[in-house]
Amino acid sequence: MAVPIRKPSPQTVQEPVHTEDDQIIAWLREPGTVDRGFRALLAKYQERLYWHVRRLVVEHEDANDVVQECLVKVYRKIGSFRKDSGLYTWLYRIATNEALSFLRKQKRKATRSIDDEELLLAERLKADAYFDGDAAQIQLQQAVQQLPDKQRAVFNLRYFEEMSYQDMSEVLNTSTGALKASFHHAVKKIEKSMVAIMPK
Amino acid sequence: MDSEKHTQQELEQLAPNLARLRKQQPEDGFTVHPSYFRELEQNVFHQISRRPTRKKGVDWPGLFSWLLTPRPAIALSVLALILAAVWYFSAPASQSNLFAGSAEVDAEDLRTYVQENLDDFSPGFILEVAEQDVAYEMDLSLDDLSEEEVDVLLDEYLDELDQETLEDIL
Repeated sequence: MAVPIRKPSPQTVQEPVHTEDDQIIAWLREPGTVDRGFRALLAKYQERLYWHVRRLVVEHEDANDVVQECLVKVYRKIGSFRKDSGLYTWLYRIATNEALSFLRKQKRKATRSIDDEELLLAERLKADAYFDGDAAQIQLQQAVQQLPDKQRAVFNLRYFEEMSYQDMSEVLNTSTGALKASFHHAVKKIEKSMVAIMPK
Repeated sequence: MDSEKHTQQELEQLAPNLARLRKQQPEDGFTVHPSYFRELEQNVFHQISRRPTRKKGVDWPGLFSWLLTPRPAIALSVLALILAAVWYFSAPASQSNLFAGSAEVDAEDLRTYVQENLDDFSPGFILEVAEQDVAYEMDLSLDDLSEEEVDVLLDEYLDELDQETLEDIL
């Protein structure tokens, strides 16, 4: 029997009712309500963070490890959170840093060449029980994976999550101008590599 | 949603084919098991409880081990000798006997004196005394301890000393 799967989309990623960030932060700062605050934070953000990490690292098992590490760090570091940045961008910054750090470590350990990796990605996605995309989505993922890691993060945040350049600037600690240029470059590269299989 | 419209508009100008694909298939194709996010919350709480937060207390055993390594040990010994010599030859007799009648001086007075004159005492000596009666239960590494941090640690330690130990130090 096939493993039941849940198909994500921008519409289903967000839970219908969520606690306001200010309330979550207030709970997290009171010793007696830390767990309550953290549960509210997970209910609101864990899915979004997972999908963000998953798009960067691709494999579910890797994404699971990275997102757990990220959420444990969030719990430990909540005391250092400053309200001058939003909770949402702070969480994305930790998740992005964790994912990029994971990818760096993975590259150091890699025994296959980058070309082999790209060829294997299509096969890996087809065989992945947790990927149900069609040929165009596989092609898109292949094109996205060819981008440098940080540019991939920029592309994913904008293309799949519709994040504003201002928020991205806080997440990636980069100017909005540089982010726009990075996204434009990424889009051009992907368009070029996908043009052959685009549905007319 | 403004941001969504903006992304789509941006794509239409930059990459019309990609913009069309995004409109037709906004998803990325990745999926998870339906119960995954329920389990994720439990797993995260499990990880948090399994990995206890590092204690912020003072690592006395680590500090002693560090101080007993050749360089700081020699430096502290030399410093102790110099301080002892300076103190012995320069202190007026009345001051040398300041704590002779310690029955009249309580632990708080002694502690205050040592804290205010910390520079006059050898950290190695104080720590040697401390080593005899501090429980060895902390696990922080203090390899990178700076001079200021050693001072803070000594200060904290002095707060914990009883009158008898303080008198030994003096």
